[in-house]
Amino acid sequence: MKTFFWLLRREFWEHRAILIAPLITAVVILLGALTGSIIQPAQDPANSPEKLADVALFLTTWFALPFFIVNGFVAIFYLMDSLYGERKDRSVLFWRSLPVSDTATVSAKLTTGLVLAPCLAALIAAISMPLITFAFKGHFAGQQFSALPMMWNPPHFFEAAVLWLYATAVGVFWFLPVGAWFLAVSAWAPKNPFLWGLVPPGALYAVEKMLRGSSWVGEQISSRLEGWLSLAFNTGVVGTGPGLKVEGKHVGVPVNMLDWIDPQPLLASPQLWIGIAVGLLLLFLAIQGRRYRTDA
Amino acid sequence: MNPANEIGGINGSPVIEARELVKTYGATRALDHVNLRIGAGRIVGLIGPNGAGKTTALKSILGLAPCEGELRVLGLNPYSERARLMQEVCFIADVAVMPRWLKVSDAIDFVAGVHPRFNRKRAEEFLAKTEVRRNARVKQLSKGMVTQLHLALVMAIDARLLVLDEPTLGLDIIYRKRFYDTLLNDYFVNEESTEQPRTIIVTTHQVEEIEHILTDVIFIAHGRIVLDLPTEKLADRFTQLAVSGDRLAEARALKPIHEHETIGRHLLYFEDVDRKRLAALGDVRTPGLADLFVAKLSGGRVV
Repeated sequence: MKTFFWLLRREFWEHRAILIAPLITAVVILLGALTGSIIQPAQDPANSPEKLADVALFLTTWFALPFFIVNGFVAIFYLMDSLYGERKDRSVLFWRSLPVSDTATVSAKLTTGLVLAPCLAALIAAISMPLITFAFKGHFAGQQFSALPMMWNPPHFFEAAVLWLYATAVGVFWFLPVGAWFLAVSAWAPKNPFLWGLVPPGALYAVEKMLRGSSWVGEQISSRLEGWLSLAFNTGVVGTGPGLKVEGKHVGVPVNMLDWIDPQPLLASPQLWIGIAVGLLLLFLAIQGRRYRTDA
Repeated sequence: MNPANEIGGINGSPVIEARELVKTYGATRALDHVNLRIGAGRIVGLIGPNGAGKTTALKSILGLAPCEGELRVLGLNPYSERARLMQEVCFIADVAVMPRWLKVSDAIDFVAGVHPRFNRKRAEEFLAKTEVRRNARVKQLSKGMVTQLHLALVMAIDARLLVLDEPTLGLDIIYRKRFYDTLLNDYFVNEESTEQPRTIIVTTHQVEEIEHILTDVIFIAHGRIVLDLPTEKLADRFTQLAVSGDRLAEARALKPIHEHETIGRHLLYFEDVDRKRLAALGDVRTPGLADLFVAKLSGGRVV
């Protein structure tokens, strides 16, 4: 357990992008809001409070999305580089001269990419959203309605944070095969893991399209990317929450975002379980690669 | 017989025992039926030309690569039980293996965190004697300083076997000398834990550099062991004869294993030939490891 902690710390020493990328995302959103280029002050008198409340709800719900997208790229680059990089600079000889099993090392890397990185992204999103909206609450005071200060709604922050945390937890299991694939590629690729990681799926897609005119591979890939959203969330549940408040009045569709959490269809879907099985197999291959391949 | 040779490793077994090790890379045999037995407390020089199989042998011993045959290091199978084995084995390869992004203080923290036999105080004391700064990253250190850092980490581990693969490659002569002095003084001689004698295996191209510290020497060529002998037995087995032209034919009749000519004299190398007999023909002495290495590996050809 103590060893695992140090293995995780070591990943953050080496790959500081995991921490820096979500911070940069937060700063970019803050600057975007400041200059009005991302979140419009929306002082058009034609905008009804109800319409702006919808915008505020939308912003609250999807505020974490840019963090998760950035994290997706960071995690892919991190996982593909992690085992290949230590072979390339030969530091694998140093790491493997310590009494740490390859299973522990590879698991720590998968944990970093698949659990810690998105948790950190969600956490930084959860901290930066109230900070940003609070900063703008006063800024827009006395003006016409604006979506941004309307987001200033502590119960909503809590709901949103729980929603993102749930999304992160689901993502860990849903994206297990993706993360393990990149790790396995990183462990085995003779060179350029980025090509080895991305070209084979693309080639399979192209070959299938050419030979059979179908796109089963393409559907698998796209459903792995976004299929979980419809399986894990039920955004049809409305009318159960307090909704947003503007000047003491409830406006917009009253929702409780926690009601959107519905893991039943996901747990019942074979896609989840097949993915987990494939992921564990790929993880095993990655561990074998770490054991077997000491040279780049 | 050196008494240290009798002392075993775990339960009296040798530190390393290898039987019929075979490792092939495509068409080349890196290890060709290698048999080895290294007792506790020895300092063994593994010497061979490039591509002879030294590194392959070390990799097998360290569990970094699988091989065929039977191999036990401290009673463990190195490939399948590497993590456990590394509690008692330390390894320094040439300086390039320390990750460049690692901070010196983090390196100490990490090893302290994962290694149950690491003594942080010892590492700190060792580093205090060097110019290595705590907050520097490995990439900011000179090659010599990286070696000192790695050595500081390794010296602080209470290990029973230390494997050094070309540890002084690319270092200047001052660092090279200091490296082996430190090794002997801090690691081998002044060791407080007398529980188990420590064993060292070292490979290097600079044979002369380690000659005086070895207790055993192993020559390896084309994946085979050509010589495996305690250094104090070298004098019994091998003789270098410096002979002038008029006695050359006589000397050659005794079947030298190797011969080469220097200014006005011939140097002939003999294996298992009575030294007194040779002394009658010219000046005799025990050949140095470098000469012996050339003699054994050139296979009798006149160079």
